[in-house]
Amino acid sequence: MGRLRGEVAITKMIIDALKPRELSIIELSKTLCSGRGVQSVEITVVEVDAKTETIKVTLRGNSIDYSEVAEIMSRNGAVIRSIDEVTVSRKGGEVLKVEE
Amino acid sequence: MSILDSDSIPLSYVLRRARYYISLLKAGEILRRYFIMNMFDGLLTSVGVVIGARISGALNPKVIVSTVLGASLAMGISGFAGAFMTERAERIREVKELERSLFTNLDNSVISEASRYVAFLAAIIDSLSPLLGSLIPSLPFFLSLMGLIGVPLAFLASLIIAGCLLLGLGFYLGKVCGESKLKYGAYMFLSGLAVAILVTLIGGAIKWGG
Repeated sequence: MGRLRGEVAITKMIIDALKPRELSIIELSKTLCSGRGVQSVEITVVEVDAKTETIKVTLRGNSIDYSEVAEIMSRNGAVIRSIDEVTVSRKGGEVLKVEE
Repeated sequence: MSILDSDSIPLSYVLRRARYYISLLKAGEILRRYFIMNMFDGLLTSVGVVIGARISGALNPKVIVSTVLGASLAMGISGFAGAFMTERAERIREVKELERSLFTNLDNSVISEASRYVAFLAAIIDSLSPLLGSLIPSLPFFLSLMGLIGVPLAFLASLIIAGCLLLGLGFYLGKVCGESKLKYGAYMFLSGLAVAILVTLIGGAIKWGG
């Protein structure tokens, strides 16, 4: 197998997270969408508790910076529980999809 | 990075940050309550001092101005310290509860920042509102002290200003709850009137007793 050339970038991520109820998903999605390489963000509330909400965050972009996403989430008081789906692609190459 | 970090205009940044923090912690209601209650305290204190001075025959602008200044400063400082400590303790408790629910540390999050900011804002409102509430109605006595108006006019103007501010506070309350502004204005105005009548009666009784 020959060496692959080109940058491997994350183009889609589905994150399972827990956030305080006070934190609006509108603000959180806008903040996430202002991150590097992110083109669209979808947030779905999966479960509602007394003080927290479980959310499913779907990020799409040309090169998502996961460490920045994690930092934005933590800064806003949201906790990443798991990464449920990730799609990466190599520039000009094939797409590799990994599912949990 | 938060939604606020990308703004580059300082004033709009500060205002947006204040609005965001208040909405994040749903603190608008408590701040409004602090403002109205303490402004009301300040106004009634000022009415009490002015009428008390009139009844006791000490309607001297110097006495009124220094009494009101002393009272408003005391209310302002006690308001700041009291509200800051109370709000800070309450907010810290809420953040700790949230940390337990989220299984994480929120020290560097906007939630903690907003808690500190709201506690400080509550303290500022709690100190400034009684200060303004008592200083504004005594402005005519400052003018009188400078020799611009006579003492009887200052007395009348002070009571009129206090009455108007009480009505204004009532209107604002009426607007907040969506009920009759006039009704709330009348409630506030009548409380001021009740203070005036009580101080007059008690002052009169003390004067005649002595």
